[in-house]
Amino acid sequence: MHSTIRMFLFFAATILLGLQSCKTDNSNSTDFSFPGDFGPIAYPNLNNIPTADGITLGRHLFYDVNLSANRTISCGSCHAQVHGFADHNLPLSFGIHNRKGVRNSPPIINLAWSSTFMWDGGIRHLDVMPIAPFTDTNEMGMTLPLVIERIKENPKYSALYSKAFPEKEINEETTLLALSQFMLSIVSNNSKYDRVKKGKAQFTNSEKTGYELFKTHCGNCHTEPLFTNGNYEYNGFIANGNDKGRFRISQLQKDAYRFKVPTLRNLEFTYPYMHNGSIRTLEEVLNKYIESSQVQSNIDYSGKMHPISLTSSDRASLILFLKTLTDTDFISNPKYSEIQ
Amino acid sequence: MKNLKTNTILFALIAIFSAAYLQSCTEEPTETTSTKGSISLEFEHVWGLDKAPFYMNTPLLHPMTKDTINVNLLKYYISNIVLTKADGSKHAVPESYYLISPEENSIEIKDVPSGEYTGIEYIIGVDSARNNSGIQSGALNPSNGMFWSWSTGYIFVRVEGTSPQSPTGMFLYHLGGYTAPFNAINKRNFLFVQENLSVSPTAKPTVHFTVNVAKFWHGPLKVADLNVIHNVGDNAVSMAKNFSDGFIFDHIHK
Repeated sequence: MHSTIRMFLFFAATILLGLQSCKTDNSNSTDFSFPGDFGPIAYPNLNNIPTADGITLGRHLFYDVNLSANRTISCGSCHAQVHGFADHNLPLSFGIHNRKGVRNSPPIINLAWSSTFMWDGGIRHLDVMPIAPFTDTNEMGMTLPLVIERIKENPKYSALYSKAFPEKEINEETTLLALSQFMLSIVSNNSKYDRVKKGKAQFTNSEKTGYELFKTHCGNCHTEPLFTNGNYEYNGFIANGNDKGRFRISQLQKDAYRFKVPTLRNLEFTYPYMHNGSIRTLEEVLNKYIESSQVQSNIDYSGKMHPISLTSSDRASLILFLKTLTDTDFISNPKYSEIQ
Repeated sequence: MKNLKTNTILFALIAIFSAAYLQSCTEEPTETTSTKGSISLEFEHVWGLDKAPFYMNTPLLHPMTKDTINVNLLKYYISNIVLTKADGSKHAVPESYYLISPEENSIEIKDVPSGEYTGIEYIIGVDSARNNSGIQSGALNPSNGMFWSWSTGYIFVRVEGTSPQSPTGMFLYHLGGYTAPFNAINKRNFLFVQENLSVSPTAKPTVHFTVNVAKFWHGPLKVADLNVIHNVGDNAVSMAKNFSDGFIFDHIHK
């Protein structure tokens, strides 16, 4: 009988091993899933859906200052959680050696639902997006091979990589995939606006008025629920005439001075506004839009703008509505914070 | 006694299932009936239509513009290689992305089905799909310096150097772009006139092309008019087309 049991166990073990060997994917446990609030994701790399270990690795990389030439700047330096992953209320960001960038740091949120990146939409895939700040001489001033070298010199990464990508090396691919995983995990969907939509909260009367005004005057471009239509639009205020926006990428005259519509989520934390950070308050932004919308040539060029006139109480209501897009849980969520 | 018999049957069942599981894990055997061989493609860089030798880091007189051109960097992609047989059937070389330069001007292609091939086609550049497929490795690794970080896509052809006729003394052309109206992808198609490419497990033939580097300046633009291209546009399209027109099938080494 003893030998019977032994043989039984042997066979059982064989089956288990057999099953084990069939597992060719390296899927590991995850505590992340994409919420349904914004529809299907736009991120095209379905082989790189975030895992807990991938997100952790990406988070370490995101906050690693050693990945800049003089070891002073990380991704998190200009994309700070407390500012909704935009910069620290600076019009333009500073890179290594205090070099000044040319545009305002856009917030890194809800990127899973975006198919283009940067103010001019020049980057068309999230997995290659970090190459721009890594290699820009005004930002981190690196080469991609040097980024990999710096990662390899830090002993903590060996275990983090092998957990996130078993059987793969530390290289450009795994590094950028991990950064994508962390960025994809940065989701802001718990503002008052979101809770109202889910029937868990109610707008005040002023917020309600503001919401109606928003839908009439702003919603064409700042489309709900992401509060951007992802397109390149013209708002008529050319504060920095040297920067032709989308034209830089497409080289088509029709795209001159058009910039990608930014999300309005968390805009209380992300000031100053516009591609060059030239406007500091929401009141000024509204005034600029109202002013610009009175100019017929702006309306013609934009194709979407119409003359706006708002009383001062309308303006106040509209701003109260915009503040319902603030997600305080998001900016204090420890999942996204710097790893100490 | 009865107990033992039940156990025996149980073992047999378990054994069968285990075998089935193991079986399901093994890969389907691949067909090995047809034989295969390898070939090489060699790109010999020349200067001018009369195929004068081309040298890097050497001032060369341009035969048409009479400008002095000193090239110190030349790199380009060859991709999507397809071999054609006389009956019109084709062998598309899988994952064929190669970075060519005067320093590394030969490609080895393995696992080509044996047979007589009468022609070849390839792209000078990278097909539109792979310009925007995220992070890639090998020849398409962005670390190779042939990727635009700020405007996703590959630099198909990169040529840099100096010229006394240039307003700044230097020239730099980064040619790319994969969407209309500034599509700089060029496909070339060559017939192996008079000789076939015979592929077999024993032969190792080399297909020899000449690439006329002077072709960059065969269009209307001289180095004095235009010394920098670093973006998509008409100039990139035109110069990439000029360059791709400079590829000529020369001969096959058996």
